[in-house]
Amino acid sequence: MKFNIRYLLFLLTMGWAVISNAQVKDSIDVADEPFRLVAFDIYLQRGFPTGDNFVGNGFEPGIGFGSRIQFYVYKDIYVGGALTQDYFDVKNPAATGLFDRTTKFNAYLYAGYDYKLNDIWRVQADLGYGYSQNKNRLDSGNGGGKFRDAGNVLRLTTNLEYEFTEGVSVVLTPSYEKVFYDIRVPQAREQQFASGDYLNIGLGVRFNWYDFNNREIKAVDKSLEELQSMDEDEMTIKEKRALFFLEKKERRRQRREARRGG
Amino acid sequence: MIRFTLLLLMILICSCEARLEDDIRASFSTRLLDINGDPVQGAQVTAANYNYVRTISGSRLHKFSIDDDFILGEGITDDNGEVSFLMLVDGGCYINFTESDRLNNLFIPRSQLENNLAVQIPEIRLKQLANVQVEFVNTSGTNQIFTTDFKLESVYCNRVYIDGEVITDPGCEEPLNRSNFFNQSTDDGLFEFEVLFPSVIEVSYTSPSGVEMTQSFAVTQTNQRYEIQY
Repeated sequence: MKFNIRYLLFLLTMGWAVISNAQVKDSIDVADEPFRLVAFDIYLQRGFPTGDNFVGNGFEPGIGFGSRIQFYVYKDIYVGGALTQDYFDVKNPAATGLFDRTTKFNAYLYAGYDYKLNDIWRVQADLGYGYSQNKNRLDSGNGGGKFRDAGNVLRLTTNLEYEFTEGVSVVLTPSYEKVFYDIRVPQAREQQFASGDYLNIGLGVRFNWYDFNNREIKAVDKSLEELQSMDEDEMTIKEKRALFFLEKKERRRQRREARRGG
Repeated sequence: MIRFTLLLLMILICSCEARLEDDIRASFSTRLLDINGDPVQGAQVTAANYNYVRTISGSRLHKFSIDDDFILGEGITDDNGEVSFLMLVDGGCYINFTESDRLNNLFIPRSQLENNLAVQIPEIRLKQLANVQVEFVNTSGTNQIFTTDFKLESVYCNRVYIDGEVITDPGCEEPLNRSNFFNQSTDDGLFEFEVLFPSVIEVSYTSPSGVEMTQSFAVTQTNQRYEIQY
C-alpha cells in the first residue's frame, strides 16, 4: 500500500480551493453562529498496541503526545494535518526482533466533520492518512544501536469537545490507527509484519479561531421592528444586544432629525 | 565563527549513533547435535555483528567474543535441540553456539540474505575447544631449515553459510604467532593451536630441497601433544 503524498496534497489543495470559494457566498446568508475557521490541538495520549501482529504481540502500552491543526473549509467540514509521537517498550522480542523500545512518529493529513451538539459540546470524526515510522533502539548493554521500521498510517480519530469559551476547549480523542509497514521479512513472517494496530485515547486542549463577522452581519440585519415585536424572555443574548444598539442608533437618528427640524 | 563550528562539530559527534539496517528482519533456525548425534538441549545461540573492535593494530578477531557488539537475535535450544529466532540485520552476522564447554560458530555473509531472509540449517554439531601442541623433533641431526603448513579446524576460522550449505571458510588461515620455519635453532620446533575437536589436523612440512611430507592427527581431547620426528 504505497502512499503518494504529493498526489494527496494536490487533491487536498484543489479541494480546498473549490469548497472555500463556495463558502464565501454561503456565509453571508447563514449563520447566527460565528464561523469556526481554525482549531489547533495539543494533547497527551495513551497508546494500546493491539491485533495479532508484531505490534500487538510485541509492544507494551505506551504514552505519547500530539498536535493537530485543522481548517474549516465548508460549513462543518474540515481538513488538517497532525503530528504524533508515542513511546513503547518491547515486551516480547521474539515477536518484534531483539530491541528494547521504540518511538512511533506519525505525520498525516486528514479530513472530517464537526457536529455541534449544543452551545458547549461538539463531536468530530476524521480520517487521516500519512507517514509512520518506528524508531527502534537496542538497550545500551547491547550496543545502543538504532534502526527504523517505516510505513503508512491510516487513522480514524474522534473528538468529544467541551468549549470553555469560544477560544478554548478541552478535547477527549479516542482514535484507531492501522500502520501498513514496509518491512522485509521471511515469507513465513510476512503476515505478522504487514501491519500494526494501535488504539489511542488522548486528552488535550484546543484553541479555536472564529470569523465573528458573520454574527455581526446577521444581528444588525434584523430589523428594529422585528426585534421590538419579540417577547423579551424569548430573545437570545445576541438579539437583546442587537436591540439595544439598534434602539440607541434609532434614538440618535431621531435626535439628529429633531435638530434639523428645529 | 570558529566557536560556532566547534559547537556544530561537538553536536555532530554527540549525535552520531550506531545504526542497523532499516525495515528488515531475518530469521535463523537449526538443530544442535553433539558429536554422537544426540540433540543438545539448553544451548545458547546468539547472532551478533562485529562492528567495534578489531580496528586497533595487533588486535585479533575472536569469533566467540560478543563484547561491545550488537546482539541481533538469540535463542535457546529446546528438548529436541531445535532453535529458531528473528534476527535484526546489520551486514553479515556471526552465529555462536555454546553449551557448557561445547561450542561452534557460523558466519552468514550479507549477500546470502538478499534472496532468502530465512536461514535454515538442518543441523549443527557442537564441538569442544582443545589446546594442541605439535612439536618437530630433530632426530636425524640435519641442519636444513624446514617450512611447515597446518590444516586444522581453528577457533579463528569460521564456518560459513554459502548457498544453503555450511563450509569452512576457505580463505582462512590459522594465524600463527610465530614463523612457520623451524630448525633455525635447537628450540624452535614447537607450534601451539586452539582447535575444535573432534577434528583432524593435517601437518605438512617441506625441506629446502622441496621434499614434502604430510602427517595427520586426530584431536580427541582438550589437551593434546604430537611429536613429529625428522
